Amino acid sequence: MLEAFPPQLWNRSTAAHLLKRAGFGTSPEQLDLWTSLGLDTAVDRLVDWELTEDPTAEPDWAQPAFGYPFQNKKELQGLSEDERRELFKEYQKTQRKNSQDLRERWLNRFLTTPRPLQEKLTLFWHGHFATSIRKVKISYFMWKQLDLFRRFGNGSYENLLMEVARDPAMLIWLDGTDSNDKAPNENFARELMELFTLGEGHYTEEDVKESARAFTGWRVDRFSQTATFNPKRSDRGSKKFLGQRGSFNDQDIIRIILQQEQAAQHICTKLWTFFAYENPSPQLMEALAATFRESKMELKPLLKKLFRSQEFYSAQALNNQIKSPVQWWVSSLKNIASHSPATHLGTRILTQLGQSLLEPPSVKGWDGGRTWISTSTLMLRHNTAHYMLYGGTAAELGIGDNFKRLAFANQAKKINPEPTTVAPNTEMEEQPTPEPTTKLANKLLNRSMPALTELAQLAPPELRLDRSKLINTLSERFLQNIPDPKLSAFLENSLPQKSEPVTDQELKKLLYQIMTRPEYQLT
Amino acid sequence: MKTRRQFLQTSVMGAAASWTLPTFLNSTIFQLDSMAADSLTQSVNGKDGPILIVLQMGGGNDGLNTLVPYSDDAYYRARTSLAIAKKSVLPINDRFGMNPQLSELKSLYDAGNLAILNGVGYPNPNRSHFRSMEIWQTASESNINERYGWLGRYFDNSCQGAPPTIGVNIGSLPPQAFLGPQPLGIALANANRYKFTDSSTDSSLTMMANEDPSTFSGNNSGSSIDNLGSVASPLQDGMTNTDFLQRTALDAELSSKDIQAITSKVKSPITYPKNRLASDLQLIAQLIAGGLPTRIYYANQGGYDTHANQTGTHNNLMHEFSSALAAFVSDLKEQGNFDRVLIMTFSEFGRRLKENASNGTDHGVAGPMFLLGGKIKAGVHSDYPSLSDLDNGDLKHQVDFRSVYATVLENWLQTKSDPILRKSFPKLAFI
Repeated sequence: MLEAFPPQLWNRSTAAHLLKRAGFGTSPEQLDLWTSLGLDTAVDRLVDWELTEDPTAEPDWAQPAFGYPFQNKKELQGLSEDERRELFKEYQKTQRKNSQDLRERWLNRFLTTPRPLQEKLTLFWHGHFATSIRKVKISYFMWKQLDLFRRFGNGSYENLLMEVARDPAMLIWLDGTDSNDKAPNENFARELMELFTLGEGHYTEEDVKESARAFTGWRVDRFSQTATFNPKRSDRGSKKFLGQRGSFNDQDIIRIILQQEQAAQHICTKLWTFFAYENPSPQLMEALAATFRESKMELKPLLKKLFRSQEFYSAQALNNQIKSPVQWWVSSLKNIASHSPATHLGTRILTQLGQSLLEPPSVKGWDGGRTWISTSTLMLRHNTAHYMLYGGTAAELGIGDNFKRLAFANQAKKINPEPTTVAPNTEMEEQPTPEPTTKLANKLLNRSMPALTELAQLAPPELRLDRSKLINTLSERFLQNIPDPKLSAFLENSLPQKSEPVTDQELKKLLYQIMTRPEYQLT
Repeated sequence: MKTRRQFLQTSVMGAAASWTLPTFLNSTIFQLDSMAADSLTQSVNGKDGPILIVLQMGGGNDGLNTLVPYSDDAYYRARTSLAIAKKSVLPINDRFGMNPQLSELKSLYDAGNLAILNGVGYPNPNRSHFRSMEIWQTASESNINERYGWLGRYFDNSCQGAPPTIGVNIGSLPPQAFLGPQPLGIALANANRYKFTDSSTDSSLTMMANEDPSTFSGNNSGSSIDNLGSVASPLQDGMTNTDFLQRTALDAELSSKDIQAITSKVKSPITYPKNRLASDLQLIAQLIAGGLPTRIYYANQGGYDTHANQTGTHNNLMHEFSSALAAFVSDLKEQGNFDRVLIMTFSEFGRRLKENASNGTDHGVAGPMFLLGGKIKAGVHSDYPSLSDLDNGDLKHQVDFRSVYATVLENWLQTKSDPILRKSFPKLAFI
């Protein structure tokens, strides 16, 4: 098991598979380059991403307390209730703007990063630690957590967990900030074991209670926007945890968790499912876990083992993973040679497709696989493909709902004059800010947006003369595969039989056929 | 309204005489050629078939401020800032009454359209949102992870051969409750956009008509490296991913045609309040009026996770809940369909008796369920749980929610509940 994939089988097809899974797919030109590197070098280059220059700039607001209206408690108390509320409202507005900025920057980064695995893995950790801005509220904290994943995502698993335990977004998300020695909150301790490291059945309720005590003392200081440790709020007493006894702190608890046999198995299974395929055999996972333990739970050797294994290139893995909405969107933009990253539209479509960035649906993250697909989301994938090729309106894509909901929210307020606190589950965009009217909503909904595809780049004139070459080229680009004879025949049938070059209209129709194939939903 | 089968026969069979059936269709819908399936499809489509509407109150609704135990001092002691004053409660009996925001629901109770179940829950309760929601949606024991939903198992058991619209979820992703060995049921966020931008070329049916069944095994993947790992595309729930995707596309196409046909001609005569739940229920009413052959509708109202500053949020939700349901019921009565409908509400858990330090409440255990319908046996069907005999600070459950499901399956949907719930549960008297 986990034998190295034979180098003589490395070709454009296998390289494409690696780049799709360890990244978001690639252009034909880039694919030639990756293929020429050979398997080992290609994997090294992906995993050792620090060696690749990344010029991506960070947003200017990505620093602690940026724009926060108060320096300290005294300043806050010096203001009247109304003044305070006004300033907070203004601050929240900025946060909504920044959170959208962060989403769009990230979406653009998926598309342009010179370190594809870094972003793919950051998306994995985002789904694994599943922290949502709905509760965290402050964009800087979300940015900081993603930055943490970028910096520690391929390093020591232990370090990653220790960083996460003291990460401000996590402290807010799983109530560490509300926890102290007198009333330890169990939320983080429970999810740490149940979801992040061990899985249900590998710890007891008592272990949850005891370890919750060890995480006390850490809070997020609202003025400096940093995680701070207050020894007075921390429980230094003796704890009994997973069969050991001592005055454990948070780091001790993480070390003890990682001593459990199950810890390696748990994370290996999650990574394998994300990168290779669902329901791997327990034997395979034990083999992978064994190598992970041998390498002292360093992630780089694990990732290299995974991407070089025969099983990763087996029929069970190839072209059989249902694309996540992010994967579908980003690889589609690459496939159609989009002239724009279309990030604003993209974030909204992702929400409709069930993968709202920065807002995983629960602490469990996204289930993935077939749960991405419903009649609605599949229809929207088809309609989005249509929009990419032909252009269209927001209404057709169903992404103008926010405007309508906003209008609802405003009217609802009039019906019920109770003071409204924001329910934790309401989307940030839904909070009534300006005054959207149905008229404005309709205008925005029906504004026509241009197509994204660059047809000239996809199919230069000479290619349009040779129908089967055109189909093979496009199939390889879109499906990363030369289609079988049946699919080829089907695609050829969708082009009119004549000797003139294929027109733009015919080309769009052909591309739409390809992008609405079931095979196109797989990667 | 055409069934999937009729549709295939008339539209596709007619168009492509040489068409051979894709394998997955062969193994699912067209096994219906047996007469049993035929009669089932008939009964599913019957105009008089019963309809169940499941309304999920996501986040853990505070049952204690929904149905208020106003005669119990323990309630007022435990909730010094959140308690609802005795004088504003809408009394149901001398023990408890409704939240004042539920005035329209109270009218439905007075009209004999509402049954109340207090203290519904399950043994060994779990206080995690998603785990408890999973337990409710899969109807499993709390220590067992069950993959399929209880409605998915109902579709599988009792609705073989039904059209995809047998189950309709309002929202773009179906709940786990719908998940079954065969995909059945559609997800619909907004009727206006539940259609293909290009309906002329995007025909899954046309595509299939041009293809040979062998290409539908989902095996055209990985052909370039087929000398390795000879495992064929793995089956999950008895179908490959390609089959699953093709099947969903087909369901989308058929249901979209049906739904567009209905929403373009049926308009509701009732004015609904302007909120999300109301517009979702209005859509359901429209689809019922249009005769969509649906047995189960599923709707969701979120936002009940009121850990802090609960009062305003919860009151708004209660008002939304009550006014939306009232409009919906009037609509159904107007249509003459109220007798065919059973509305069942639930939340994944109630909240703790004692309020927390942030003017909110934390995750609890048992909570109330409401059942509304023209044929319901109105009234209070289980007593209010004791506020002194608590389990770790939480109300003890006295009705297992699976008893409610069993009653609904047997006495409303007219099907055996044991194979679906994997166990026998005592039936209740509300139907």
